[in-house]
Amino acid sequence: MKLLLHLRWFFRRYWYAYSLALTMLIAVAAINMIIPWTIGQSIDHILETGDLVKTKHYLIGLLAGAFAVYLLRYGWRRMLFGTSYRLGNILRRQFYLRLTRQGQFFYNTHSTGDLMARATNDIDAVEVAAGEGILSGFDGLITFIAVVVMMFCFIDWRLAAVAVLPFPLMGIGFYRLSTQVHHQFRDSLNKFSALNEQTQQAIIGIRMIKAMGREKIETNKFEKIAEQAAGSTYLVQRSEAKFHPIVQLSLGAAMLIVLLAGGWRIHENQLTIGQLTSFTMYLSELIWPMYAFGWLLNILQRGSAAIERLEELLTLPDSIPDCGKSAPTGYEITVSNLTFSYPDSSLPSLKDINFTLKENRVLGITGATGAGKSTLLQLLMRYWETPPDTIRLADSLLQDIPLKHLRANYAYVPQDAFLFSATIRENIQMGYPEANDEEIVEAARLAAIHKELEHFPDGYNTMVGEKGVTLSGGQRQRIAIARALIRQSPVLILDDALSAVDIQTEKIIIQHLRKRPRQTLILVSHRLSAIEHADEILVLSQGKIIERGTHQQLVADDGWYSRMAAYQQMEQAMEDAP
Amino acid sequence: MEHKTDATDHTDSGSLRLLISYVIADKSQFIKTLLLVVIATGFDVLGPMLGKVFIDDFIIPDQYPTGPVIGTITLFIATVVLSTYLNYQQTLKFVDMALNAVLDIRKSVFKHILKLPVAYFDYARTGQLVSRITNDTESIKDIYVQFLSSVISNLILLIGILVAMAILDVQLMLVSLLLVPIVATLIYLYQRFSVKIVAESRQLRSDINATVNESISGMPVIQATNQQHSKLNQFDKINSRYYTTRLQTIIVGSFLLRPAINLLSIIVLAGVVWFFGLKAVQGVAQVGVLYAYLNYLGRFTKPLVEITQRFGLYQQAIVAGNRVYQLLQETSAQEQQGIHKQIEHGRLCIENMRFGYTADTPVLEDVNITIEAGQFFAIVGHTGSGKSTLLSLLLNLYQPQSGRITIDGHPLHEFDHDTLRQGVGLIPQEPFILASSIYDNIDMDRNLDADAVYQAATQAHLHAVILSMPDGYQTQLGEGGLRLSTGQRQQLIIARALAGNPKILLLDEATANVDSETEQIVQQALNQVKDLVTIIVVAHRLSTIHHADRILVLDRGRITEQGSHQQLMKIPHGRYRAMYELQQQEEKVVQAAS
Repeated sequence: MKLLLHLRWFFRRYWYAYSLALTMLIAVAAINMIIPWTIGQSIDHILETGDLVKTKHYLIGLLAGAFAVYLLRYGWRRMLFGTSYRLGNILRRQFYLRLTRQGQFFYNTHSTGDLMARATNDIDAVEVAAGEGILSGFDGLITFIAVVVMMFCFIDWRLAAVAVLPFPLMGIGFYRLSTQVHHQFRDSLNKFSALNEQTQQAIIGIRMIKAMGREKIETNKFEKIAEQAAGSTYLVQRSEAKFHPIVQLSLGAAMLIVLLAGGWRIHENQLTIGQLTSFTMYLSELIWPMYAFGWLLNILQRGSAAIERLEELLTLPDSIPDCGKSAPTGYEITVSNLTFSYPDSSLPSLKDINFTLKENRVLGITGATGAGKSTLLQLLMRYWETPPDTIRLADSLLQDIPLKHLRANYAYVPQDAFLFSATIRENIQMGYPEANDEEIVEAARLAAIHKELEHFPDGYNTMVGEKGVTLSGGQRQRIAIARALIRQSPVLILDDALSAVDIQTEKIIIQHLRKRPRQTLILVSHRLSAIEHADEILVLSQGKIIERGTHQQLVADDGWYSRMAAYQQMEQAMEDAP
Repeated sequence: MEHKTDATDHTDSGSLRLLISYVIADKSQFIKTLLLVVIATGFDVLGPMLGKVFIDDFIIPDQYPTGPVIGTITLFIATVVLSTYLNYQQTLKFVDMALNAVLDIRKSVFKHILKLPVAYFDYARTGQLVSRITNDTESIKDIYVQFLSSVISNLILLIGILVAMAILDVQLMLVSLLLVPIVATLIYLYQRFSVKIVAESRQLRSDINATVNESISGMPVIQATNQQHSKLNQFDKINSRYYTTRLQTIIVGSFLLRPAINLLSIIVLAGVVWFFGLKAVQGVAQVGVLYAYLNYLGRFTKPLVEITQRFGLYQQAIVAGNRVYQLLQETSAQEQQGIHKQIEHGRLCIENMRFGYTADTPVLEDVNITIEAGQFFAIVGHTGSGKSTLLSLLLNLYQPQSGRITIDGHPLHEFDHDTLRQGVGLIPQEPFILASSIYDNIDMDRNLDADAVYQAATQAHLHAVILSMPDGYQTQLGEGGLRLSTGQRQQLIIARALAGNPKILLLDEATANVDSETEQIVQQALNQVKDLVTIIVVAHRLSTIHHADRILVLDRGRITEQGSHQQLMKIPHGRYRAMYELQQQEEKVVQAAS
């Protein structure tokens, strides 16, 4: 019932579809009740009079009723399932919308697998509850009531009272079984994913397995897990195989009762043979309601659990509160006394960071892996909440600027150049959907990728990603840069985004970028050649700025920067050696 | 039917043979179960007949002779109980057979995959292979379970019902028989119309999943470019199309399946009543027959629907079966039944070797190396110089295109598979620890002598440490167990390799920085076994190989320098020297950061 409460907004919106479907269900049940009764009447009529004219009328009426049932059945299916599919549709959209509103913290704390499970299995479970759940509940109830009414009121209540005795047992049996099946099924799914896991591990590590001669050990491990999976599936199948015996036994018992008690009632002249026949036909109509009730309880349980998991995400507030109202007048960046630690950690990732980046200047940031470079960049764009009064864009505090405005100021190229499964054109265009072909080509040219793209058979229309070509790391990075450039944002941030590009191309791209008139540049790089022309270079180590200055100033000291510069020169010299 | 090429025809019949061979693997079991089905069906259809007897012989004449009445009732109870029991048993038996068959297929596919040559995995996609072993075999399971327990038993039930009907009244049976072709036509029509829609809705479903998945990974980019809205619109489009297609499946299904079959069975019901009426007027009808018929008709449509609905599954399983069959046809690396069962000395020779992963791009060329038994030998080189490839060749994972590799004068392929794995120990880059006891971690299911295990641990300087632990060699490692230090883990791996009493030890040195303490531990352990075992180290840090007997420098697939550390350092502008100086500079950089 919790489920229905959670979904009342939906039922309210689609009340007409549900009422229509339920009305049709009621009509179907009503007509269905007439069928056995008609047949009973025909039999009695034939036996009594030997006259076929009236029987003919009965049968024609029967056919008309059957045809009406056919149409009505079609109608309620269309309404009920259609509406529940609509629910899935809406939930999926809401879910996606929430995903777009969540920041890095959310994605760090929720694994992709978990999110995917909610987007698929949980939404399915809710959908089933709203469609098949409602169906089995109402249809089962209506059919049950109708059958009972027919048997008790129109045929013989004494006979009915004894004949329905086995049915409650059937309902209980169904409920127990379907609960059991549910648990066992879940277990078998887990075993199956363990099997997947083991297979994947083995194939990824195939070289090691062969090198160490572990074939037998791995095979044994696999066989054990495969056997467990088979055993678990067997349990599911065994439980499912018990549904049929329950029906057979209860129905057999009921039939016997009807024959005996019915025979006695006929003997007493309280019942006709036609009525007895109708009665047995009604009995088989009772199977579905019993099954439906057992099933309904399970579907509702699953749906409730699923909707709770979904609501948890759907009601989660945006990870970054977006309530600023002021628009910055420029794009000078000031960072003062910034100390920051991630929400789930007590150690600060950045300590006492201070710098000012004037408009259209170039800032270089370098340092060892894990020094806090990417964190600093993400804070500038407010992917994480910072202490107040630490970061300003022109005259406004970050928190006072609407997120949309703030992000529009930045064009950001992250470390791993993520491309979507779409054409290269679409990937570049994503930065600025209104861009025309000329602008796209211009961006690609600046990112030094245009010439290469022209040599692709499909040019800019080449598909990338799973269904498309495999691009080299350098190509991906340059496409990602083009995507950022086309945004024409005043602050361009490259987070080690040239690491896979060779040094010559790197030089060309940086030259292009420095020439752009209204462009602040923030370059993070391990390779010092990419930042040597920066107006200021910050060297980060363990969250602190340990050195700062221009390239010339920094190489003059015997610090991290100058040693690194020497190292990279030696490395280069070795690579260039014949 | 579409035209098929011979090749797919071949796999089709191949996979079919594969599937059938498992069904009849245990013939007597199969026949026994089949017999069970027939008997169960017999009891099943007997029930309504007894009802007919009860009505026509007792109720209508209103005579209840004690003996026959009690007999009929007892028989009725017996048929219900027996048919229920037998039906349950046959289902279980079929399930059991099906699951065993799939288990067998799974096991043999996995075994087969482990036997494929390593080169196969250079091109194969992990995801696809995994899917072959798990998902495809799972579809095969569906066909077994469904086909065996559902199609076969339903078919027999259908026949049983028809026979019972014919015994009662042939004419009425013929009227009912009309249902079979009509329902078959309906299902055929349904298949025709629904296949495309169902496929499309599955495709859209996987598109939705792919989009969500991709958006989760690409969310930083989406947010950085302010594209949340347009991405949502894109998602909406797929989402709505998914809705429309599913609606179509419901429409087609409702028109042609359940509701239609229901309509038909009522028409037949009316027909049966009508014919009964005609007969009754002639005075030849028994009302009990009609009673039995109404019972049968209620169950008549169920097997029909079930049989036909499984056809979709059947097609899927055939496709899956084909893929599994093809994988099983992949030629495996020949099992080595080598003539040499032992490596005696451990003298390793590489002569004029050339190797490339593809024929036209050599990774190693002109490689000539001789390593005397008991030597400590090091291979260095930059990323891409070919040193990992050389290691793979020494392990016999790949075979050279020309030239040869010999141990004690015998080419690698002349050695028995197990001999080679025993005689050549590998210490891999990433030490993996089993979630098991320390003893098991050294033994690694090789059933070694306990003494060999202790001796290896002693050689790795680990014996004393282990004995000081509360549970000694039975101390549990891995998840939930004791966490070893990096150095101890390294020692454990060395002990594991030494326990097999190898003649040659291959050491693939970790690329990441290992603290100097660990480095020393490895040094000590290696010094211990030096002279007894040939040691070949693929080195990334030059500091660990100072005292190697010989160092070999690989550059772009060729040997450019070789000699001892002192000799190599004397070469002006030498590559080894440049690498050495570079690593010293790297240490300086690290010092500056701390």
